[in-house]
Amino acid sequence: MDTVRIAAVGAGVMGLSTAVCISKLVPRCSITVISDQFTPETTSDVAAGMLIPPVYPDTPIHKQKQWFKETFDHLFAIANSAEAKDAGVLLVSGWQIFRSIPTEEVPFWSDVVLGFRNMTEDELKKFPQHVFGQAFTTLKCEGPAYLPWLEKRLKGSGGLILTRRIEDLWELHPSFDIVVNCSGLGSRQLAGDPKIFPVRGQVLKVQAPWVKHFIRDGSGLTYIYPGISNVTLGGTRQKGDWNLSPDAEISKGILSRCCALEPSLRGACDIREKVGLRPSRPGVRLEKELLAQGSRRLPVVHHYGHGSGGIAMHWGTALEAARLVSECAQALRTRAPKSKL
Amino acid sequence: MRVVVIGAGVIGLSTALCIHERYHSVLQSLDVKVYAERFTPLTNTDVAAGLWQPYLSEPSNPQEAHWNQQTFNYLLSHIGSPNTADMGLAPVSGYNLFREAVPDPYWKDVVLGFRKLTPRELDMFPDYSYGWFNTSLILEGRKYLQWLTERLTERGVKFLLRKVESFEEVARGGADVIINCTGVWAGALQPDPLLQPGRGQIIKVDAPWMKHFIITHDPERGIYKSPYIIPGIQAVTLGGIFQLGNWSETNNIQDHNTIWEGCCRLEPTLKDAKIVSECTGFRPVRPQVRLEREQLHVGSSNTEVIHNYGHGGYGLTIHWGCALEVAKIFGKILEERNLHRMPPSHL
Repeated sequence: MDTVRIAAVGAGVMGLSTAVCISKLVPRCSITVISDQFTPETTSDVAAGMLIPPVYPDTPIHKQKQWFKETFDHLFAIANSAEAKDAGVLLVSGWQIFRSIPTEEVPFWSDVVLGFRNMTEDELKKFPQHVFGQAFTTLKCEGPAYLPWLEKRLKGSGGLILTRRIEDLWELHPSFDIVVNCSGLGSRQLAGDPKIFPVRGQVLKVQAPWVKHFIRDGSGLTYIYPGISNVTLGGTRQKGDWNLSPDAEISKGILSRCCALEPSLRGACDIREKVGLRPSRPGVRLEKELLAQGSRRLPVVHHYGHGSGGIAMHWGTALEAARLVSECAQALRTRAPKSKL
Repeated sequence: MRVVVIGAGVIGLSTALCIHERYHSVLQSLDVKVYAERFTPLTNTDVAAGLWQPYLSEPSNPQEAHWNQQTFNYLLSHIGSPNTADMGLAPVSGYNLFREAVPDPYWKDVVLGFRKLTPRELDMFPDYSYGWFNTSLILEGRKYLQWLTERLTERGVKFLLRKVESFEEVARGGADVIINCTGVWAGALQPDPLLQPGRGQIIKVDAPWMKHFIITHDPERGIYKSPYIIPGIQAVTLGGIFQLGNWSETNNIQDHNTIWEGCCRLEPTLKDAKIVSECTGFRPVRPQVRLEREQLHVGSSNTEVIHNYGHGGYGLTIHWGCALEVAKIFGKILEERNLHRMPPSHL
């Protein structure tokens, strides 16, 4: 087997970053990203992209920390390079505040972000309803710029992009030797996985260029994330809700909660409503599966289920997915070496 | 009681507002006018990036440290009100960078969250090996002057475009108290060998991904002679020019290159930034602020002059503390003239 033909299903942050990692890691392969949705229509485009990771109950903490650190280091290098603006990556400082002292005062990622410390009394005065807070500097990685930037790098290394809706992974056989499944919520159907479900998030993207800091309520329900060309105000976490249309009452609620934390937001204008469905799962599914049907075999690497931690974990999990793909490629090559006459 | 404020930069307008706020209710006849040759956007205040940050070394006049702190606290007290953006006011965090360890600045407990930089943070700035991180405030000159102008106009304060040739001329026009906020041009009204222009040039760029200020320091070269990047509400100010004694009002190409190269080296992403404008201004440099009273004998009457000029590169940083001090002196003048016996309740 000479060139291993790899298909990545899904063109959100997972599909594209995995494809880029594969193109760098797996020798003699061709990589094609196949999806029916591309930027700016993916879930990754709605996400604010703040590197503040959630906790996955089913994944060991050391793994989560590793993924987060790898992602942070990767994006940190971009943020400090001349490509930062093109890639949509920037450094933002701010505060995570709590109405009551959290059980875990020092999260697992505290030494991955920069300058992590507790807020001083003076700093907390700005938030009279909150009694505890953390100040740190982290990264923001914006889908609408980052995804095209990944696409460009993929194409630069010979990767292909195909627009097609895949209803069944077997459609990719025999054109492709290995499939990496980055279809997010689509895996409910494509992988028959009942563990993945949407957590609906509604956000507002507004113009408020004077806001230079992020503010996040520790509950994760209310947040203000300043980005390159707008500020994301959020949000909601509605489990099992598949509705992609914005709800006006919810928008009012978001604006009101955010203005309570940052009153100057009353002057915000050009308010746009967006909805994304977080592909949530108790743990990220990152594993190989050998699909079999009769005599047909299709090696699949599953790479989905990041919930609210997609951007925050993407590079670490993409590297691992690429390693799994590489293992599959090795296995295929050992079984079917290039024939010698 | 006729008060004429000469100068419509941040010092003139804030002093006018401070006096009006404190005395208009106790003084029926208070009439405040602002005379100036230049109004926003043509003042030096308009060129300033607007970051609250005093010089690193302690001021020769310890009162200045107090005025700086008063200004910070005054501005901070506005945070939490809905119209801070209209004032040009916003919290901003950032980095002060050095090539070697330095003592903490005297204002470290005035700003919020002051700390030293961690090694990973310093990795972002390969030319520097030590630094601070803190949260401070931006007070954008142009927006603030517009806001002050609105507040003064609401109060009935009149503005006159006038080139004042002498204090006597203003006194003869009927002014009882003259507040001299003429900044770098004060020497034209009264020679002051201690006052010099500290010419600055800045480039304003569109770089909305820059959320932090970055100020470098080179003790060999002196303050403001090392690159700095300060985000404003809409645009980002790039600077690093300080030329004592240079009165040239036009932008200089070498200075442009110094700023551009220095800032792009500090922050490579700036290469993509579009230039919005470029301006020159004159910091009114003086060993210390001249904030004092002087009596002028014009004909048979005494006209009081309160000087408030020479704030160097820290005018926005110190302005409100100085305005309060001028208001205090003004109050004393009123007492001496038996114009009011009780100090206003809000002093």
